[in-house]
Amino acid sequence: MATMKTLGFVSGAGFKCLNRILGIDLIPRTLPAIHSVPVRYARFKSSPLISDDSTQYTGFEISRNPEEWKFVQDLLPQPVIKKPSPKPEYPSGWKPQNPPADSPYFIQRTANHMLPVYLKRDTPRGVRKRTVVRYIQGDVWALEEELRAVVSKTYPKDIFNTMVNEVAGQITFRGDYVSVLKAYLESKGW
Amino acid sequence: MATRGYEKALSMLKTLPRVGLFNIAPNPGFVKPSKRGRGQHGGDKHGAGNKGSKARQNYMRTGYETSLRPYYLSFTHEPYYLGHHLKRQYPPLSLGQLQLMIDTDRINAEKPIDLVQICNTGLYKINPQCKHYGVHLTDEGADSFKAKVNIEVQWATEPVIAAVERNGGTITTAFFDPPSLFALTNVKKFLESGEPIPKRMIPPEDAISYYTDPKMRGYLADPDQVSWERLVLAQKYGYSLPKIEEDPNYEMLTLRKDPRQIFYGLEPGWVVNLIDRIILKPTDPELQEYYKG
Repeated sequence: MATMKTLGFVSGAGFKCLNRILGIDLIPRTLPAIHSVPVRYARFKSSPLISDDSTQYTGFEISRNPEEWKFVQDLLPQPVIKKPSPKPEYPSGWKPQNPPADSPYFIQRTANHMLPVYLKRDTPRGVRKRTVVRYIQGDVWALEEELRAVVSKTYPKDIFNTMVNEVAGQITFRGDYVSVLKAYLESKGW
Repeated sequence: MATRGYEKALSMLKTLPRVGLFNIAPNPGFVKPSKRGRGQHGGDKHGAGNKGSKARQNYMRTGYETSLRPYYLSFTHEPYYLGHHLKRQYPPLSLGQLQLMIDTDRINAEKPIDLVQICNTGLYKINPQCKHYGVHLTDEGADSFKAKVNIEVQWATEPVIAAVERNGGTITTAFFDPPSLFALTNVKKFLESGEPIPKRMIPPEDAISYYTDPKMRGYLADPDQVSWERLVLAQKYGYSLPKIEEDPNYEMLTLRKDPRQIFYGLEPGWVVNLIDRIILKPTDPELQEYYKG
């Protein structure tokens, strides 16, 4: 009963019927820290300076504890994306790149270590779809021929065009063949 | 040597644009707009038809449809989106995506995972200004989830909790108020601003029931009831609960934040100086009481 009294003080009448409606047992043990008034009176940036006199500033102590600084370092993001370390298994299905040795072309992984196979649409929500394979180095035409064969074998009735941009190292398929191409390239070790 | 007139004219013609169908036009004032015909047969109806309100140019006012009750009053008000702009939103993150982040070393599973670690990957988009209140961990990819983690999310469902605890991990659902979320979602920017770390506020009234529920592993729930519900869920889903007490990573798996704390290991009220690598702690008892209370 004492708990409900303090909670009522916190947020008004709406809180009092919480026990009846939701059937929650708000015992003080589970809610150790909600007895104070949850109001932010001011923020650091919006508060004016009291004075220019630094002797009137609030007191503080300086900590150089390396154990505490470890927690700060854990908070900061990594400046670059590191190469994933080898692991015995990858439950997500992701595989590290293991390209065949005698290949006339090379497909570079993206910055996030993923396969550079993308689905693009001609218009933002349109039905015309394109599949783009990017970051191809070497003989782009050899890869195009190989991928054409894979798609036409999986979808024998489909009529699709391909476009090769040799300078940019890209192959574009008309249609959505992302999962087929990804599965094939992954099986080859790219 | 003086140039002749026709030479001047030719040199000017060279610089002038060519005359074509695209740039010829009548002289200004040559084309006159036709006026409405007058007189006996000049323009009988003037394009307005024969009789009726249209011929008399007597249009009905907007919304009036020649009956007693206007159309816009003939149906009751149905406020489908009442309060929609105030609802809390939790952008989803699936267990499969989390596993992929762990496999590609974007998240270190050896340390406690919270909103900071998920946002630091750069693969999860969240904006507290759009009423986004944190991660909703969804059950997509739950069957192939193998990581043992200590994760803190803002919303989770029963199958997700089961998938995490089946592998010997722990999960907590925790609420953060928007000022805390601004600090959590972009920690580097927050620490560089030199503001003291804010204290976490309690959840709003409609979220209290979720975050005090041991079934949902709420951060305000009784720890004894949570460990009981862990056992209940293991029996419901049919897996044997791994004993985290005997785990070598017991310290990491059981690390929790205080209900007032937003960062692991750092207390509210502290100021972090990233340049000098020092932490400033307030000594004023009034301030200390504010941040603890």
